[in-house]
Amino acid sequence: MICAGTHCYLMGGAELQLFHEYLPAGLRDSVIVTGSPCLGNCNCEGSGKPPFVMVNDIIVEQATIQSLLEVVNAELKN
Amino acid sequence: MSVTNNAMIIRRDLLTRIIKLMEREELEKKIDRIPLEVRPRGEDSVRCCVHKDRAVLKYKLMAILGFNIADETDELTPLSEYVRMAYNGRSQSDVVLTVVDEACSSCRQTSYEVSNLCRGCVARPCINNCPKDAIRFFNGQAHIDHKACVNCGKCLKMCPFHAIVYMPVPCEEVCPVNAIKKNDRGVEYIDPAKCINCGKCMIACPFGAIMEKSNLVDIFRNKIEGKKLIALLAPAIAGQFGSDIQRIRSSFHMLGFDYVYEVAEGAEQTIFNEAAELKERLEEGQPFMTTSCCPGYTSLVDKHIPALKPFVSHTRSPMHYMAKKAREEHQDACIVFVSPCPAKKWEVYHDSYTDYTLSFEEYGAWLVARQLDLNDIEPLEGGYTPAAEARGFATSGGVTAAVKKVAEGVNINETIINGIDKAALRQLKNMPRNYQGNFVEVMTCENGCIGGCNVISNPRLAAKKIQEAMENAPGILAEKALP
Repeated sequence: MICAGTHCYLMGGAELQLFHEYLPAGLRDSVIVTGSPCLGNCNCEGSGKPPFVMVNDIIVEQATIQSLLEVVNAELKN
Repeated sequence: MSVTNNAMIIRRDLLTRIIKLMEREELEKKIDRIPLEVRPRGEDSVRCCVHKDRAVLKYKLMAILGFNIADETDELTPLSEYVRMAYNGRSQSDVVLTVVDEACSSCRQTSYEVSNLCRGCVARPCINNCPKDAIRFFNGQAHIDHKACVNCGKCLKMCPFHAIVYMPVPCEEVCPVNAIKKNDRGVEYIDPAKCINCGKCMIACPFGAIMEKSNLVDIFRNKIEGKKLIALLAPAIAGQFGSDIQRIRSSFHMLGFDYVYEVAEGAEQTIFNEAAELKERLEEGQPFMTTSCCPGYTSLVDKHIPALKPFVSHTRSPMHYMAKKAREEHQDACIVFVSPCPAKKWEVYHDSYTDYTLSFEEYGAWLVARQLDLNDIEPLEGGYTPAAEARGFATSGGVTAAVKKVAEGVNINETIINGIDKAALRQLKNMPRNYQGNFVEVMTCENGCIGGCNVISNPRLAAKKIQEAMENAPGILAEKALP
């Protein structure tokens, strides 16, 4: 779930909206990528910096395409 | 590849912090603390030390307050003093881009260099192919004599080990008009006589050393003085933040703007005037006409291709027509153009109806500072819905498509220049002599305004959003043409 709230969008989340294109062809069927309204992390102290993404139950802060790919791969192995 | 990078994120963070303090009327009191908050002691620094990082941040903040960094007279002047000056209303020049000289890392000018991967081979094709005899071997490796080297790049192509690297100066590399050069200290200097304010250097600099002067304080000052604020939204905004135009319009009211206009409405007038002018010029026997709505391009013609000047349309930009109407309706208001690029900021400075510019980035930072989320905002219904063709001005090819729709009896044979680089510049320079078509659309940025250097959304996503907005808009009608 990629946060599409305005704060995340401004701080690099705009880029993540294209995340599905970066998934290797073999993984596209096993991962569902959706946008989400503000996940509410940006206003909590200590939860990190935007952009935020939820991969299953894991909150990824300062997400980039590369960091997301790593987390997604790790989750798929579990 | 990602378009967003850390230098942009830092700029957006600083913008958000400044706006938050302005909203709380604490800017003068707290601004000098921002560099310390962003780079606290004990955390890793990006540059050599935390103090250098803070110094760079100070100058970036100075640019956000609207000052040209080169105008600094005393290094000890605190930011709070600049805030006072900005709130008292200072005179400004039409310089838009300013170099943070502390941040400029003085990239090395030498273009080709032999790396330590050189194996010192026997064949030595680098030496054999160098036309200037600029390569010497010592300590078992090749070395380039930079006084003799003419940067032809043949050695790089020939080396079987890929041991020779090309090291560009990123800002100079992207500048289409060679307007940015090193001064005698090795720091970049932007020559205002050559610069067309496209902002490509600002995006290219890996150190974030080029900043755009902001009008944020000026806008807040006018609000405090009791002026009505008018926002003129550039057509490209319809593709930003993944939101729709009704929500975006609504958000401007929440930020404190009294009236909101879409510049696409002004684009309708540009379409009709442009089509009429094209028809007239062709009938008079002129071979072709070029568009004039992109200020980066008109500056390019003024400063670098004077021979093309007679072919540039005299039709004004959509912004100009929209601002004229807004000014007629609200004489004393402060008119703010919401802009995708610094070239428009230059146009605003010289436009008689518009007062200030707010970039898409600054708008986004303002929303964040106020903790407003576009997804939660009620869309603003009603208001004028600009024609689909007018909305299309935000993308490359949009102007041509619109003019074709309304230019009756003219067989348009067009060329679309989608972004000005050095090759496009050569193409344009040749046009007065041998151009075969009759209409040239020029956009300084690749993809058009949705590719401007202040945009937030990836241009591909933005193009999709603009397309959606066009599908929901009526087609252009001839009765809208002004007499």
